[in-house]
Amino acid sequence: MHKAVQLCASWAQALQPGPAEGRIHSVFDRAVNIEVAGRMVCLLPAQRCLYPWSCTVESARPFPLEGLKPGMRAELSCSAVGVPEARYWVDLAGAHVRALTLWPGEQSHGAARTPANLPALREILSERAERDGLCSLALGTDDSLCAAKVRPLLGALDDAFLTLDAHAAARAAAALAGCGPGLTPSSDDMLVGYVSAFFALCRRAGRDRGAVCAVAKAACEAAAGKTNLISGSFLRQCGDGLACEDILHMLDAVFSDAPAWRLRACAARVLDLGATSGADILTGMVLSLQKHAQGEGIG
Amino acid sequence: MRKVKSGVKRLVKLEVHKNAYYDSVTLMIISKELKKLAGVSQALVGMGTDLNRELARGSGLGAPGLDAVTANDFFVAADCRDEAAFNACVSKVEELLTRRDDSGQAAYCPPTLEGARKLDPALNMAVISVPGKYAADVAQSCLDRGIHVMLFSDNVTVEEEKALKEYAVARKLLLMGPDCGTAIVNRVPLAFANAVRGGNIGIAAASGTGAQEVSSLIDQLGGGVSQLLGTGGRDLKKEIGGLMMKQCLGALIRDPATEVIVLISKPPAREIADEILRIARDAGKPAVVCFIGGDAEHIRSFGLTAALSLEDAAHKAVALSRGEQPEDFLGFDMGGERAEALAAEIAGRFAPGQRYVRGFYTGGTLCDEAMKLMLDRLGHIHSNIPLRPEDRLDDARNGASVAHTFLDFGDDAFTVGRPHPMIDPSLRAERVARDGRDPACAVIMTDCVIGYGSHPDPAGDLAAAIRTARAGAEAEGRYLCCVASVCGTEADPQSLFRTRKRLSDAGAAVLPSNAQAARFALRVLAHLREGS
Repeated sequence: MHKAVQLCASWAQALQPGPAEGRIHSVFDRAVNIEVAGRMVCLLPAQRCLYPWSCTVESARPFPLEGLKPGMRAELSCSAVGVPEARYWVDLAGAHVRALTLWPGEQSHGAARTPANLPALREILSERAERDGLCSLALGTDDSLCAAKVRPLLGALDDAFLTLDAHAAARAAAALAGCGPGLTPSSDDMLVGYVSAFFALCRRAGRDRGAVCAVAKAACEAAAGKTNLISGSFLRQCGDGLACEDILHMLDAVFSDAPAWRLRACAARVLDLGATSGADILTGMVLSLQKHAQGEGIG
Repeated sequence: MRKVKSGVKRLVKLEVHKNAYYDSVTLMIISKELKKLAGVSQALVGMGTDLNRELARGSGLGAPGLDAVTANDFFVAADCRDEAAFNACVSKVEELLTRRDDSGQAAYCPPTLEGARKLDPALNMAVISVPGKYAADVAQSCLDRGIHVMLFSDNVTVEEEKALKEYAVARKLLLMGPDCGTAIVNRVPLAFANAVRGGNIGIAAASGTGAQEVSSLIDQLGGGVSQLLGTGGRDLKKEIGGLMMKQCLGALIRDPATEVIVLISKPPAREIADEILRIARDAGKPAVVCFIGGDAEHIRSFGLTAALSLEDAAHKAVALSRGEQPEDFLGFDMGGERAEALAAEIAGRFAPGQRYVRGFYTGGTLCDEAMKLMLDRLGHIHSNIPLRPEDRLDDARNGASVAHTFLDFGDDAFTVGRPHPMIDPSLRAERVARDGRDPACAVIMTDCVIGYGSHPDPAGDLAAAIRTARAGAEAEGRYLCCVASVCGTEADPQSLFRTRKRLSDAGAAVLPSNAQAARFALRVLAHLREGS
């Protein structure tokens, strides 16, 4: 029996005493995705940060070596997650439950301050810019094939979020979703960063939470329909106002009086997500901050 | 099949894996590897979303079947010379998808420390080369995680260096640097190091090229190196107090593979030297101490073996490693008489007015050692790293040489905005050609450092410059004596033999060590004075 170290609160709240049945969707060295009740939940090794609808597991071995394969039946309850065919069980009791919300009810993102360290974020991005990603959208450098495709579509996205127009946001997000390399295509990651930063900005500005959540959910749901199931799952989590620990820490560093070294350390963790995903997420954050933190529509 | 405008037939084909999910790192590796295949002009790898299919079509990769690919399918679209090239694509994709060994991960370079640790949780050494203003933070992050550090970066403040080293010492970790460019740890060369034979001689050095010279000569003499640990050039100054030299010395003392210890540094402050020498004295292993140009008697007073040059250190270390009595080596491999005859012959060819030596080095320690070996006989040596303040050369980079002049091209004056001369030796080569035109110049001395990290052909530019300089001098009725030494081993990528031959074919007198080169140049100049 493996022990769960951390468990996302959203998943914990959804679990029932009796077992629910799911099915393994995909298995990677450092992630197992399980489809259950129309949603994707994820097992991650303890070294990774916690994601929405996931739990981290004490485990030294890559998941394929545990005998886990796509298609296997999974059982999920509030006490355990198991794959009987592989004799693989995770004990959820004792796991530290964490809320991964972008708009916590009580929590503050720190001092109300315009992101003065936005130039520092851009500098960090430029140091790590991947040629095949979307960094050029934020840096003004030469576009990759994918960036050239996405650039003309950004204006509609910006306008829709600025005016909190859910329908327009859905159209704009759907138009640019699924573009670029990676299991989670670059534009999907960029959108996750964009929407996450937008949530953080709107919370600081005291905007109507319902309206913000509606536009985010509409955009992310529409984008999820234009990409693969795994990337779509991340988008839906973002649309629900959730983000992984590393993104939350990054946003906290951006909006608090964090010293430069902390900003770099947080950015480094985000940049380390996936192959180019981290850089694309950071690009989305910078784009959102550049557009929406200039006082035109926020605050 | 689709014909392109040139009339050359090409294939644009599709490989699809339905409902297949591969992690982004694997997809990136596939994309990079496919582009390297012969016969593949372009390839697009990704998930079959609407936009990715549009990208494929827009790039001329709209192969039949593309429309049927869905967002949950993995596809590869490739523009290939022929069917064989496409089959090679397919095979490569299969190979990379099914390969489950570490070498597949080796093609992926994680951008962060945490990413690297995820790939290899046993990671315990980091080589850091980032701009100085970030270097201390990065080094601290590594030390916090129990990772030893080789800090190649410079422009780290003295305060930062002291704090990092105190932290490292408390945790029994190495912090080699800052400005540490050479190390061999458990026989693994790091940064600028040479391919030397493994053996029982451990080196702790506050000098990069000094350590390279000693380790290379040890190899040439048939000995071998167990460890080569760098401390950074400032470690033995009062402000740092030799923190890492003591740490490295302790590591060599405890290392079962090390039976003879060699310490290399410029002469430290007396109290720090005494502390180091006491530790070496009580090591329980024989130790050779090379404080370049320092007080040999003081070293001997601790019962240790004093080296009179870097080459002498290598000779003595090898002797001790074989259980033999170490003896001073101050001669020539070619023999004293032959060196004398050759020097006299060369000096006889100089034109009236030729009387100065110019030394142009890529290794700072080699420049320093040469100056120290020659200073007594020459009186003054002007330099950007002068032995006496009054001999400092103004504007070393653009100004003219003055009388006897030795320049360290690795000094900041030459490396601002430029790679280090061991990576890009062109600036030094230009200076050789320039000073070769000086009618007062008689001898030009150079080092040539090969090994890992160095220019793939450091002799190339230098040989060309030597040829040009000598030809120019000859055309004006002068004779230019070029004296060179090569620091490296035969196992180095550039080959010691080939590098020496290129320089000697260009007309240089190639000596086996920096010290012999200095002694030979002095012999030439001595005959020149006699003649004038």
